[in-house]
This record gives sequence, C-alpha cells and structure tokens, in this order.
Amino acid sequence: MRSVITRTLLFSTVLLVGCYANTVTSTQQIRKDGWLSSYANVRVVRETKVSDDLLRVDVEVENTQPFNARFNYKFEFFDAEGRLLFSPTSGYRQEQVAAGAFSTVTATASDPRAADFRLTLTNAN
Amino acid sequence: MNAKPLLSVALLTLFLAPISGCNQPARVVTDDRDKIVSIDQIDVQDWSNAADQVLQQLFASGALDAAPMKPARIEVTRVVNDTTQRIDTDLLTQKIKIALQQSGKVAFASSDARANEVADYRDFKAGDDAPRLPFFVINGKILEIRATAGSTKQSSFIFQLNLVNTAESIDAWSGEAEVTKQGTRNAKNSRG
Repeated sequence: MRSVITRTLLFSTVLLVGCYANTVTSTQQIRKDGWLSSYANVRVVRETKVSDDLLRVDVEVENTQPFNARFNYKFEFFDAEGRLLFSPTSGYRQEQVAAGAFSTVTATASDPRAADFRLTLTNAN
Repeated sequence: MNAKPLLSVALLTLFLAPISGCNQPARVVTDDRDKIVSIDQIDVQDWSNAADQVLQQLFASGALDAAPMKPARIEVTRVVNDTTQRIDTDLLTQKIKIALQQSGKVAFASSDARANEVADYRDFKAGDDAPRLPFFVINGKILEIRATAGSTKQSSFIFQLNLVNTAESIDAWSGEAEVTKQGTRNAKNSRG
C-alpha cells in the first residue's frame, strides 16, 4: 500500500515538474519559458524606425535574482498581414545579466515590410 | 544448468549498454541552441550573430541614406582573414548582402563575368560608355584573440567592416562585432 502511495506521489511530482518546465508565459510579442518567467522581468519595449523605414526593437530585460543569469533570445519579424519575414541573420543569441541588473536586447528588421515582432526568451543557465 | 552462457550475455549487456547510450543518431539541427559550441573556431551560428551585430550598427548609422539614388550601387571588395583558421569570408558577406538587398537601399554589383560582359555589350549598343561605378564599397577584416587561464580557454573573434563612400573616398561607416567563447571543452549545445 505504502509503495503505491510513494509511486503516485513520485509520478505526480514528475508530472508537475514537467508541466512547470514547459509553461510558457506569453504576450503577443514576448514569450518566456517557465523558469525564465520567474526571474526575467521585461521592463521596457521600444519600437522605432532606423534608416527611414526599418523597424528596430529594443527590449530591456531585468534579472531579478541575487545572482548572475544567462538567457537565450530570438527576434522574429512579421509583415502587416502576420507573415514571417525571412532574415539571413535570425537565430538565438545569448546574453548575460548581472544580479539585479538590466540588459537591453535589440534587433533591426532588414526588410522594410516588417510591422510587428516576436521575442522569445529562454533559460540558458 | 550451465550458468556460463547466461553470465556472458549479462556481462556483454553490461558493457554494451553504456556504449549504445553514448551513441546519438544523426539528426537535423534547426535550433541554434542545439548547435555545437566550439571554443577555438567560428561556428555556423557565430557568423549570423556577427552579421546581425554589424548590420544593426550599419542601419542605425543611416550611412546608407547618403547615396543620391536608391538603390545605391555597392561592391564587396575584400574581407581579410587574419585568424589562424582557414575560413571563407563569404559566410559573413553573403548574409550581409542578403540583408542589405532586402532593405532595398543598395544593389550589389554582380561578380559574374558573363553578366558583366553582356551588360558591357548592351551599353555599347546603346552608345553608353560610362562605366558602372559603385557608390559604396564594403571591406573588412576578421581577427582572432586567444587567452588561457589554467585549463580554461577563451577565443575572441572580431569582425570589422567599413562602408566606403567612393564619391569622396571616405569611410562613411565603420562597424565591429565580437564573438567570445570560453570553456575547457567544446559543448554540444548552448542550452546550459
């Protein structure tokens, strides 16, 4: 009987841990994985145009932990109809943020049709 | 009952299990976080990282907007490899070329001999003898700096690019990107 209870508890714990790790907190534009949601705080999002018509995005990320953290991030750009725009330089980058500090991650769309963006942040510790 | 065959099978399984566990079947990697991170060489993801850094600087500078007509004619002349590796600098310049063409601000002069020959012939037939000169020229250099501390190795790769305005022969923009990697051995991925 005790063995059944132990196994059930173990199974539930595994399930819960699995669910937490896969949880994604998301707005339309910024997605964070479960672990990162607890310590990476997105403070400011700035959208500007550079070189006349190219969308540039600056996102300030705060590390709310009392120790240094590392995260991966990726920007994607979309046109006004929501179609993903190809970029030869898109991909995950890694950023280190000191304890309690800010880091600004930026991206510039090389295609003037870019009207919207998506930022994905994932844990890299 | 003879236990020897059973014991042999058990021992064989015991030896083979860890070996087969280490083997990883080949797979296609599309996520940068799953790509191998080498300490002492430029990995495939480093090229796009470097190109992205310099392109962001170039677009933010507004230097491309100085051209009197759009798209401005541009040429990549030379990117010097000053690293210890044998690398094809097209891995950097092609990404920059694609992104700049996407922006619609520049048009790259073709390096195809036949295309140039045909264009020359058309100009000749049309009575146009003006040479096709680029308004901008891109050149650059890739450098490497290494350091060690105990068993920890560090490699830095620096990508320097210049945009030359040929009308005035001045560097209209200069940019630099850095990729630094550190560790005791290469990693299978960068997920941590």
